[in-house]
Amino acid sequence: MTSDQQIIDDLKNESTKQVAFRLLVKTYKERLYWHIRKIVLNHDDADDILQNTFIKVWRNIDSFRAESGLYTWLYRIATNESLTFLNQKKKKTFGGTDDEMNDYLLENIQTDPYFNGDDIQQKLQEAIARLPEKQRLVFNMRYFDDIKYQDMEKILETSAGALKASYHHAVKKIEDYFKSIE
Amino acid sequence: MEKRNDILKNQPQFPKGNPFEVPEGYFESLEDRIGARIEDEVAFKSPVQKVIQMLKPILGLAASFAIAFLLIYYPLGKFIPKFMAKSDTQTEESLFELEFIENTMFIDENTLLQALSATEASTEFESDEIINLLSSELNDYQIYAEIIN
Repeated sequence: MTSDQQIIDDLKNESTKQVAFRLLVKTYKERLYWHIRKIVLNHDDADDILQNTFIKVWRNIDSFRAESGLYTWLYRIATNESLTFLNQKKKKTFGGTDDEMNDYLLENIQTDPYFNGDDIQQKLQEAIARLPEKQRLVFNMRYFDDIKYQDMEKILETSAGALKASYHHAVKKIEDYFKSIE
Repeated sequence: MEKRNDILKNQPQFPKGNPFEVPEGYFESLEDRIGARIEDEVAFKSPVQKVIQMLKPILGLAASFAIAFLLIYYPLGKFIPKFMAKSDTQTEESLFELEFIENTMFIDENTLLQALSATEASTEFESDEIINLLSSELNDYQIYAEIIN
């Protein structure tokens, strides 16, 4: 199996760049897709954002600094692309209001043709969609993707203490939501 | 605090499975679709981008020289202004000399001498003197004799 370092070296070499890039897409496509999908809660949007993420990686590979780690760099680009998409949607479609944006995300879950969860899973996704943006990100990354706080610090450029606090608040709010609908 | 640690240590009891799906064959075709976009990008690189790429090393070099010049010339002017003022005067003088040589390069010696004496002579006239001479109804020879004496 090719290591991340080997992929980076090959990406920076013009003769091996295209082959290495295909390998990069193959290695990270699913992990990044699910990360993006949980943020935007819509398959078509997630597909667009994922493609843009990889195009951005292709364009900026020369400026990549190895010390940040390929995996955290990719996650950071995917997260930024997803948040930029949501912010643009919020400004253009909803005039910048958070409430309407939350309604849009909830509607995405309820009308998603590719949602195959049971009732509890749907309620959990709805509870997550109601969370503030940062708490939503941290909860998804920690609870579903098992990403370490140490890596999350680099991806979200936030201290581990603040991330733990965000996760704690998110869990509390989700528990409260479940209690309120019982 | 205790409660917070409990939540962080013990996983909350929410369902953990992934309830989302993707259209059939989505991941299998993804590499080809992204690959096609990359190929388009490589093939249709705009002429401006190509020119920028070609000029990049030259522009980089020019920028380095500009920065080096600023880093050396500016502090010199700031910390030793007398030296810079002197060198500025010298530069002005040498520029004047260069301009003079350029202007007189193709003029023969006699014309140059005449031009110089004409300039010198004209500076010696006083306007009152010229008016007096013109109003005295003297001929050219007499006027010349007057000036010489």
